[in-house]
Amino acid sequence: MTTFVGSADHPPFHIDYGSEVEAQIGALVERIAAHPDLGAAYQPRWLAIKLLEGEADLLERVGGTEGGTAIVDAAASGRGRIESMYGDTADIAIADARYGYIHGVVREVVDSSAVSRYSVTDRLDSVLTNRLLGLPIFFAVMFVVFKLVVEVSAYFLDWVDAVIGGPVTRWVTGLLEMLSAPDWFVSLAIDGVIAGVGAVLVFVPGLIVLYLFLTLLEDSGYMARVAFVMDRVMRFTGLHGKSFIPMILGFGCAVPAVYATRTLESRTQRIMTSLLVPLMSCAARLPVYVVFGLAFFGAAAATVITGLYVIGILIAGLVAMVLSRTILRERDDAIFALELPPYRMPTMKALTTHTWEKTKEFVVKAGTVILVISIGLWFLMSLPWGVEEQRDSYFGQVSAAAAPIFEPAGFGTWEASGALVTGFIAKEVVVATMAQTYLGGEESEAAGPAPTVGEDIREIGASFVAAADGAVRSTLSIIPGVDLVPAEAEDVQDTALSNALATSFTPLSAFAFVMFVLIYTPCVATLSAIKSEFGWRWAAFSGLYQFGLAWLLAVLVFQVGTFLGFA
Amino acid sequence: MLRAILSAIDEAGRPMCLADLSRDLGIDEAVLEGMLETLIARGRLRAIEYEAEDCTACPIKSGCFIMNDGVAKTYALPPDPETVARALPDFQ
Repeated sequence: MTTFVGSADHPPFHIDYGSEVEAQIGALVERIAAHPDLGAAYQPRWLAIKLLEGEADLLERVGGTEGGTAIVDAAASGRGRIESMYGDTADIAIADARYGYIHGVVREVVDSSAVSRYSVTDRLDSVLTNRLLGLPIFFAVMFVVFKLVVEVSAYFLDWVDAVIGGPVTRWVTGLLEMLSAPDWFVSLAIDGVIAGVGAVLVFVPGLIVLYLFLTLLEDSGYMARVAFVMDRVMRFTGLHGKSFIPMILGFGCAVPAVYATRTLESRTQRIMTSLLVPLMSCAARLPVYVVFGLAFFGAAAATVITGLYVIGILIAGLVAMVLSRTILRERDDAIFALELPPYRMPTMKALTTHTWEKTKEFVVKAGTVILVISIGLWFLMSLPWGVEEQRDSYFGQVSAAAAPIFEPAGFGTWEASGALVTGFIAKEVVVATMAQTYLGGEESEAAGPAPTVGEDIREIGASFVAAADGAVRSTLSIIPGVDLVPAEAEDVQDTALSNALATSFTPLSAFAFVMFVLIYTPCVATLSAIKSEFGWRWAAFSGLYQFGLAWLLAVLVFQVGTFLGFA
Repeated sequence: MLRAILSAIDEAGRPMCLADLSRDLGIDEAVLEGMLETLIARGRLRAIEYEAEDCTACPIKSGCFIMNDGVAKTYALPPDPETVARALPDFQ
């Protein structure tokens, strides 16, 4: 450590601690300088300040020297005077003065207003956070992401669907028959567990693609820009800029998003944000969109899915405007401080780790919640025991009783209303239920002798390579001017469920259905999160207003569409 | 300066992050960090560091306003000894 003690040209540097503290320092310096040992061993002023600050180590050392006790006592007396004058401890008063000086120097010498350089980040920000271009660019980016999700993952989606519907089903059936399992148990395993859980697991490849690109956007620093751009929009609707964080978390899952509203100071803003979060399409809804997108909208599936996300955001904005001007009237003008980090290329490790964490969460849910619900559903569809038609089961009867409510929206069938009823539990279950109601009773095709396990494994490997090849070609073909997808593969692959749905819905009623799924009552976990944060009244309000709004908009879509001749 | 920090947090009635304090008090963040460390060392302030996993799901963690050197951190006043004493079970 270098110590500057000054010279004739440069006197020693001193911070002025103020007259009171300086008086105590001065008195102590005289005593220290007069001490035979201390004066030579220490810089007197430095030691005086440290003793006044109450440095325990130095007080002990000084007190141990001959005549040092008097200096320690004088320091204690000095501390007492400073404390009585400043109303705070002496060490804080001294540190306060020291930092006051540093703050003054920094203000004098640091020019924070000057733009030192116009970096790549600044150039990108001038476009990406532009008042007019920022929002359209965000929607365009999300469109590309969903296009990748639909078009690229369709190959893997088809592969998983074929593996679960083919070899896995054959192996489980063979194993259970070998164990002489009763017929009802084989049906539970095939029509309940594999049809239900499998229908959800089919979307894992699509979700991996979605999570991968969302992680890329987050870790590159782009999402922070989106928060900045959205802040202006949020304020227009009556929301605080900080609401963006829970809102965008809602695209993953509404439950952590509701808890994330704790970052907002105002309770009114927290309640309003929690009521809007479920309108952000969570990952659990994506399988519903993809199934219906592939079944009814073909090449336009990505556009429809992006449209649904945008519609969710727009409806949230409109609801916010209404709530902030009626029952949740409060304006929060607190500043939303958000640092815009420099853009950076995310590391492969960060990308894979974050993608894996999110995917794992979805798979674990499929293996637990959805598994239990699928088993429960199978029983409800099989009771009273021996029922011939699923429509006559307890589940079918309840679903049929609820079906007329959805008649004006164009999907008043017991299968559709049953899927929506179970969707209250978890949105992933909508697809799982449809798989059981539409595919559960289906007999698998038996064309020729069943392949051996070895043939199945070879086929799984070969079809995986073909899917990977198709996905890579499809990814590269997104680049303008590049077309690597063979003409015969242009049609987006369909899942077995997509094919089954095509016979029960029209494109218009399918769109009304996905609109309903987008908006209707949040899942039980989200409602209980709202209840635990704000009480059951707000949870009930959330469930009821979203159901009403969803029904109204689905009916509007179907009736106006029918009137315009889209039916 | 140091007392201004304590007053700002006391008035806010909630933990504050470095960026918020810097803006509210008009003090450079680098200078403020030293002040906060001094107050923490003297037991006048406590730093609340959030578990990293709480932030992993956050889409804007890279630009988070409470992030400080890669750690989500806010500053709060230590609990009032009388309040703590009241909250403790009576061992007598």
